[in-house]
Formats: sequence, structure tokens, C-alpha cells
Amino acid sequence: MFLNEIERVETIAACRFCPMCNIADGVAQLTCRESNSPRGRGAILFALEQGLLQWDECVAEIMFRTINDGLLREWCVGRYDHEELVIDARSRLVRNGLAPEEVRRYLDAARRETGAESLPATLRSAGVRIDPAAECVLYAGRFVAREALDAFIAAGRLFNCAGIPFNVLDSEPDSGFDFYMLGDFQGAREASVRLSEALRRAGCKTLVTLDSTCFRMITTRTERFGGDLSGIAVRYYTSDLADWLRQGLIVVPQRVDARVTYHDPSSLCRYADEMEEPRRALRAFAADVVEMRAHGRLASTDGADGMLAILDPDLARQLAARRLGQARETGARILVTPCPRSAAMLKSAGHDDLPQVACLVEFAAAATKHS
Amino acid sequence: MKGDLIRDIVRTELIDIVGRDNVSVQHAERMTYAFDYYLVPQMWADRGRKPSLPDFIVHPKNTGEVSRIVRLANRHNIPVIPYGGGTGTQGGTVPLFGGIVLDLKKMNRIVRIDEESLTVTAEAGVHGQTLEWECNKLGLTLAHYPASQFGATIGGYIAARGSGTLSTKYGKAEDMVLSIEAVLPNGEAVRTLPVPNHACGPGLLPLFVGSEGTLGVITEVTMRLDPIPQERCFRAYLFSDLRNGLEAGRRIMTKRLRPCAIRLYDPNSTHRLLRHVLGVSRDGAYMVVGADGDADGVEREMRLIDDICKSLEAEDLGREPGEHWWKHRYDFYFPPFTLKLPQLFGTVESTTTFDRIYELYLAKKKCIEEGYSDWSADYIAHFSHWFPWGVMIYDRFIINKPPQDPHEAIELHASIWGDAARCSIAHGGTLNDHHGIGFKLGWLMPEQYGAAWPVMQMIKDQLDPAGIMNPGKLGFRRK
Repeated sequence: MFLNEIERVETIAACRFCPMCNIADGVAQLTCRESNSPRGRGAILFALEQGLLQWDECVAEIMFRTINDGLLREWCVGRYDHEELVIDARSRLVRNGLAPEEVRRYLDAARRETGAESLPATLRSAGVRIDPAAECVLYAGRFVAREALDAFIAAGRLFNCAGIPFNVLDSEPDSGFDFYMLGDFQGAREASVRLSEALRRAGCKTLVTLDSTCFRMITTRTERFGGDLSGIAVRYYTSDLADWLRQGLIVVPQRVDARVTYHDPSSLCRYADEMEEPRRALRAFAADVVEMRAHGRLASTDGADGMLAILDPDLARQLAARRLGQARETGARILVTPCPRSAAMLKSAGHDDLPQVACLVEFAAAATKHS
Repeated sequence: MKGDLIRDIVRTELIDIVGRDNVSVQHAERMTYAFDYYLVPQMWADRGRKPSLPDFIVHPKNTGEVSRIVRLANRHNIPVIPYGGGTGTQGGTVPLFGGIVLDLKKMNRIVRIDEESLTVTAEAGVHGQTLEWECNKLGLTLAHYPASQFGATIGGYIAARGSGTLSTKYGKAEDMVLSIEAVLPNGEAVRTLPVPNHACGPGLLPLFVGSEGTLGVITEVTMRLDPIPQERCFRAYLFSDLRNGLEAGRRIMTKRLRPCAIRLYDPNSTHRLLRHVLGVSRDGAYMVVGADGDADGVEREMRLIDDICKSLEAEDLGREPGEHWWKHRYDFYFPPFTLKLPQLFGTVESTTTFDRIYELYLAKKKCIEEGYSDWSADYIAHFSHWFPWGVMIYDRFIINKPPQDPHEAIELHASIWGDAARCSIAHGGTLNDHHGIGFKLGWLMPEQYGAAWPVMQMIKDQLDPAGIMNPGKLGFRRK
């Protein structure tokens, strides 16, 4: 859907022959299998096109065991979009009922969900003020609403602290990112329309998202899936945070002493060019911020990408552990990342070793608590 | 492999050695091991023909497992194809006769970096780029920068006798390797002497370097390291005539200067390739030359190089295009800049001494452009790995509209290769400089070695009497 037929065929032709981005594929590096490499997937898709291979469960396992973090396209001088090619293959598998069982179960459960009902009550019970008349909507997204409510509360507190009125959707619809990434385009279409209609009903003019994958979905895919976002500005919360700090709306009494490093979630660094604002915000809270070797557009995955954890949670954790190892090499005691989904993934791979993992929004809320 | 029962028996024996997760017989998995970077198998499949698939993919985790797998293969008389990154261009890992592909990438431990002696010991499956990154953390570098660096393994570096962009100073893979551990075709693991320079007989190390998995499986490698240079700089020159460029390179090397790179493009490459990829549009012979080391040394080296180039009427294009070339040196190998199907192409590179290189260039250009004018064959060349005694010519033929019929296309491909290789040999050159032999060039090995070829074959027969190791490669007789 997102590659036209010419792009799809050219991408297969380019990838099936080329090993130049193998080093950038986290799954290929960990599994050590050609079939998990970009070239291997290219060869498989080519063989399927040529009738040399059949779509089957083995192909499905391979296409869903990918990290799809955008690093391959970034690494590729020709900018071939291998990740989108994989999503296209996933959509064919989903349409033909060949997706792995774990993926089917996940999609079925996601389809049955009606939206996050309790977000306003959750914020109010935490003492966060919501303004139902506000044109700015703070959006949690499915993952944050289910797994990272602390981050959502922290974001609400920062809004309050900066004196910016905001609203939360009564029954917050899913962004549809998970459907899109898993190749369920029908599910993504329905979610996109539902979300845009809910935002219109709420009179939203500015949408601020917390989950980086939702930000990516809403800024790059929602309208292409039929959602109408005209007149709605979509922002990632770190832009607001950096603005508030610049304008003095938020004051930081004391910066953290410990060495801190920053992890770029792929949805921000490679799909939204959102790299400077979070760093600017972080530097306001921490005095000693160092970069990992792989950072910015070439940052390694945190393991949360590509919905890999659904099929292979252990592999996703290994990727997260690898990223933690890279953070450790900097000597940092704290690894900060803005996306709650990324933070959760990294935390799941951490043990008692340093660095500690922190989500920027919680880090910021804690630092401004007494201001 | 014939027969479902024996296939299943072998599969269970392999599982016993490496575990279920490390053996695959799935069709899709096997398909991904049917190709390397060699054009012909790709072209074959491109025209709808079934590729040669391996029967088993096996991922050993240590030398002991490799030994047991090779013994099993001997017992059942099954081919074993050692596989690293699969980035070779000669078909060296293509499983022509099925069998066991031994993917070594799980043997990816860096055993030791010796900061005192500047050496690194690592298992064969370590990625070249990963090793480089790990060495860089300690201020060291392997300084081996082949175009395959992002995919190739160090075992592959040695097995294919490869070369990197800075080989002119740092040497080819064969110059960097100190010792190896290898599993012989009988399953026995052996080590070569700990250092390559000695007087303890002829030395086993050279036997395995470039053996492409036909004489055993390289499982561990010790290589030389260098400190990361304080400074590295590049400069570009334009010669009105290729001969002057070659002469400049010769003088640089025979005066025993130590540039890290000299890359001289022939007029056709200068005109086409550089404009296409680097946005440089000039006629003549374009040369990029670089030096690295401490700042004073680099400054002195570059001044002497500059004197030589200017004495041969080169136009100094300055540092910027040279640095641009270094920064974008791998761009040529990414699609869409690389050649691609349905084009028919081949890198027919060779190496010879300075006194013969220009004649070799002219002869090969004529051989391809005139010999295959019916196919509008194009010929491009550059000279990029320089030795104290000669230079490598990296030359290519390109046919934009080859025959659609796969048999005709393969026949044409082989014909050009045969003519080009014989032309190289006739002018004192070699079949190949740094890509290896594989099955692409194996058939020409007896011509390359002449009366010495039976010696090579005898070595193969002694070490691998059953002929299980990577059959069909390097020109050895198939059992």
C-alpha cells in the first residue's frame, strides 16, 4: 500500500542482491541467519514473485521476526524502503490468513478493544487538572494507556506546571499503529478514521502525543488510511517541553548530577527528525549528557520496534539489552528516552546493572516537582 | 541429496550436534543460502530457473561442533559449504551440489585483543565491521576496508584472500593474518604456527589463505592491528593521460612512499562513473591519493606525492574531491549505483608488474570492446591496490542488453570471462587479485597454474580424499 508496484519491485530487486545493510539489521546480527537479513528477505520475496517459493508459515515467521526500525533505509545509500517492503509482505500474509498464531491473537484482541475509557479519571485521581474546553489534546495511545500510566500522569503534571490547559479524550481510540505495523491495513484504516473523528468531536486543534509510534502513525499514516486531520497540528511532547523550558514556563531547580545518555526511539529519529528538541529538554534537567556511538538517525533499536516482541519477546529483549550495553559503554548512570514504549522495553532488559532507564517525561516531572 | 529417509537421518544427527534451533531444512531458509554476490546464480533465478539449494543450514557455535559436523559429512559423503557473510562475488558459497551449509556467524566471539602486540584473535564468524568497531574502542584498527565490510566475516576475509580500500599501505587480508585455526576435511582441528614469519618449513598458513573452504573450515583467526592514525587525508588529481597516472603511481611506490590509497580511474570511468556517483564531470584520468599517520608524516608524504604528480603534469584538484571520495567510497556498491540485472557484467580484475600493466590494460580493453562489439560491450577500469612491484587493475565489462535465454546469457558470460582471463594471463597477470575464484573462475585455474596445477590438485586429494569440502570451487576435480 505504501510502496507502489514499481517501488515494491525495485526494492525487492535491490535488496535481494545487496548485503550492504546487513550490519544494520539487529535481528540478522542476533539470529545470525541469512533469512533474517535484509538480503535474505529480499531473496525470499523475489523467489515468491518468481514462483520459486510458496507463501507459507515459514515465510510468515521470517517476515514477522523483523525489527523494522527504519535503520535499513537510513543505512541504504539508495534509500530503498526495506521496512515498508516487509510491512507489505506482512499485509499479504494477514490477508491470506497466514500470519503467525501470536500475531493473529494480538490483532483479534486489539480489534475487540473499544478504546481507553478511564484516562480522564486516572489523571483527575492523580491530581492533574484537565480542561474539557481546551483545544489541545494530550494523547496516550494504546500502549501508554495500558502499560505506562505513570508517564501519562507525569505528562499531565508538566502541562499543569507550565500552565497550559489540555484535554484528554473520554474514550481514547487507538492510533492504529500496531495494526499498520503488523500488516492489518483494514484495522489501521478503521482506527485512523475513529481517532480523527474523536479528535474532531473534542474540538481538537493541537494533538500532543506521548508514544513515539503514535506520533509516527498520526503524522505519516493516519491521513493515508482515510483519517481526516485537517486543521489539527500534531506535536510530540518533547517539542512542547523544550518550548516551555525556553519560555521559562517550567523552571528546573537543580539539574541531575549523574552522567546521562539519551536514546533516540526510531519513530522519532528516523521518521520524524525529532532529535534536537528532546536533547535540548534533557540538557535542561541533566548537566552531563553524553552520546552513545550510535545515535541520532543511526541509533540502534531499543527492541520495541516492528512489533517484534509479539512473535519473539526474547529476541526483542536481547536487542534492548544490546542497546543498554551501548549506553553502558558511555559510562552513563541513567539512560533517558522520551518514549514510554521504548523505556518499558529497555527496562525489561535491564537487571541491577547501570544504567537505570528513565522516561524523559517522568524524569522531567520529577525534576520540576518542587518548582 | 537423494532420499527422504537419509535426509531425515542426517538432520537428526545434525540436531544431536548443534541442537534443533541451529539446523534448518525449511525451503524459504534454504533459498536464502542459494546466492552470494555472484551474478550468474542471480541471473539464473531471474530468468525463472530453480537455484541450487543446500539440504541443511547448520549454525555451529564452536570449533568442536564444526569438527563433528565435518566428520558426519564425511561419513555420509555430503558436501560441506562453509559460509560467512555470503558477500563473495565468485560463487564461492553457492551450494552447487546441495549438502550442508555451515553458517559460521554464531562463532562470533572476539577472543582477545592484545594491546601490547597489536593483534586480535577472533572466531571466524565475527563481522568485519563489528570487529573494527570493537578495535576502535581501544584506539586500534584492522584497517581492512573491503566493500563487503558491512556483511563479510573475518573468516571470509581470509578464505577469499580479500583486499580493502587502504590495502596499498595496510596490505591485503593475507598480509594481515598471523595465524589461524582450521578444521580439516577429516574433522581434525589444527592450528598454524603462532606467527607467520619463521624458518620452520614452508608454513601451513598460506595453504588455507584463499582456500575458499575447499581444504578445511577456518574457525579462528589472529590478525595484525594498527593504531588509529592521528590524521588521514586525501587529495585528487587529474591526469590528461592514463599513462602519466600509472607512472605517477609507479614512482610513488618505487620511491617507497607509503600512501594508504591510490585510486586511478581510466578515462572511461572518469567520464562516466565519477559523474554519475560523485558529480565530478571531467575528462582524463582521475586519481585519488591518500596518506595517514602522524601529522608531520602525512604532510611530508603528501608533499612528495604532490611533487611526483605535478612532475607528470597532473592538475591538482585539491583535498575536497579526495575527501568526498573517501566519505562516499562505499556508495558505488549500494543499489542503484551498482550494476544490476538484467545487465551482464563482471569484474575481471588482475594484478601484474608495473612494466606490463599498461599493455595489459590496452589488451583487455581491446579484447572486450572489440571482441564483443556485437553486444556493445563496455569496458571500465581503475587501478586501486598498489604494491611495491606492481598494481592491480580493477576492470569490468558491462553488457546492457544480454540474451534473455539463460543458457545463451551464461555462455556469453563465460566466453567474455575466458577471453579476459586468458588475456590477463598472457600479459603476466593473474586470474584474480582479491575477489577469489569460486566456481566462476575455477575452470581457468589449470591454465593459470600450468604444470603446477597437479600439485594443487594433489594437495586437495590428500587433505580431502572424499571431496566433500565445497565441491565445484577453485577448479578442483569433483569426486
